[in-house]
Amino acid sequence: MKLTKLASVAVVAAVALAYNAKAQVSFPLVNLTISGTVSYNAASPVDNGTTTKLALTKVSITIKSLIGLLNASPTVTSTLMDVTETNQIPAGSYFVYDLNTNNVSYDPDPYIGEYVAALIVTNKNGFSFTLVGTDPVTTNGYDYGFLNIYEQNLIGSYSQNDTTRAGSESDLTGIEFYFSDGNGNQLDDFGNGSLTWSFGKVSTNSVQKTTLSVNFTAPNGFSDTVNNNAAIAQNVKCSGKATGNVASAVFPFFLWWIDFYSSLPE
Amino acid sequence: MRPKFIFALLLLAFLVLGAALFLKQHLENTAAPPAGPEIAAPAPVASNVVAIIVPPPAPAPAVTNVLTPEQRQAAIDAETDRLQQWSMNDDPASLSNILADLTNSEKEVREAAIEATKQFGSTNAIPALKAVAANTTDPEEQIALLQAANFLSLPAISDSSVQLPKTPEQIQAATQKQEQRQKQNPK
Repeated sequence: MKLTKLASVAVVAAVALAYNAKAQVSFPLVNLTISGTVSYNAASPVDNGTTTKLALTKVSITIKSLIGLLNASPTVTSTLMDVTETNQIPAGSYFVYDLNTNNVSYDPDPYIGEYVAALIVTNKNGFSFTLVGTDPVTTNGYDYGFLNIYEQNLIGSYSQNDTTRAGSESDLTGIEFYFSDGNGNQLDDFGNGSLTWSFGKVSTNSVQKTTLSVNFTAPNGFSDTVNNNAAIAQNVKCSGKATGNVASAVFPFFLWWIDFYSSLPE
Repeated sequence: MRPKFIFALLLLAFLVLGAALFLKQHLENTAAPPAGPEIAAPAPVASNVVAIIVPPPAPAPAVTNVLTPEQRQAAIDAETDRLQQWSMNDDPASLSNILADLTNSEKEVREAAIEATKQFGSTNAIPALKAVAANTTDPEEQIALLQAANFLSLPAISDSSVQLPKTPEQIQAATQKQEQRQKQNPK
């Protein structure tokens, strides 16, 4: 009888601990740099009488230029106004990669149709615009971009101290980088990437100081357009690093993520 | 008579001995000044000790300069964060800070500076990138610097020269493409 009670208390305590740990899952937001190039045919062929020529035009992609596209798009600025009450992304804003579960949502784009991790445009003054979401005014879903661990293509190696539970982990994953300004410019590129983790000792409140480095490369374009012209992106790279406190239950991340992803409703 | 003689002799001997001792002591006292430097000798010794003590403070800065791996990484991360912030600005001071880090002693910072130069997006950085590339012995870094210079010579996707007004045909084609994609994957 006493043993049963003890076991019940232990189960309740374990559940409470597990819930507490789950509630504390908060991945650091990774400040990203994004760069790459896109080639497309900007003009019609030119015939000089002896030879007809058509050149490719190559343009660069940076965070500033992507924000420039978002700010120039009537579709995006309309959503921006509904979501943030301003129709322009402020100068100096940047992209962060958010692995937090509250920002992993089902992409409303019927072509994409999967759960995606969020890309957020933010700044130091509190501005924040998640690129996938639901417009609170129109109640329509919108999708202007994400950087995704491609479904469950995530594998890893790790080393963890049995006592302190500190350690490190290196994950490899298939990735999809998607960006659209809803105005004729789109990047939908696939590639692979790495997530490198460094976990500190578990503290008394079951969290670990954690450093996460992401390094994603989409070497080849898949479905890209520049100003409504078919285009091919090359070497689109997204990388960044962040440190924060993460629930100890997520180490190793790749196993935790697959478990989390599997638990999402279809 | 004999005992008196012996007593006088012993007395004389004591007097001679006493005089000798007196003279010896007197001579030692008068020789003291030359011994002065010997007593003062500890002074140089003391200064030597100071010299020996002083060196520890001298290496002290060296000790503070030798960062632990964690401190070193923290310093690198802090500078990388600053580079990311500067890269989102548009002012000459930020560009100047970024270009200064192209020659930082830490490779990780130099790499971040190259990326920040690309993100800053100013063609003014091209000569600096080429100049640093010319003085870099690391071939990988040299390539990265020259690639960044080439990258900056491209128009940005958001440039008005790229985002020309669309023709009605282009708009129609884009709409058709979007509809086609939605039919292909109704998920």
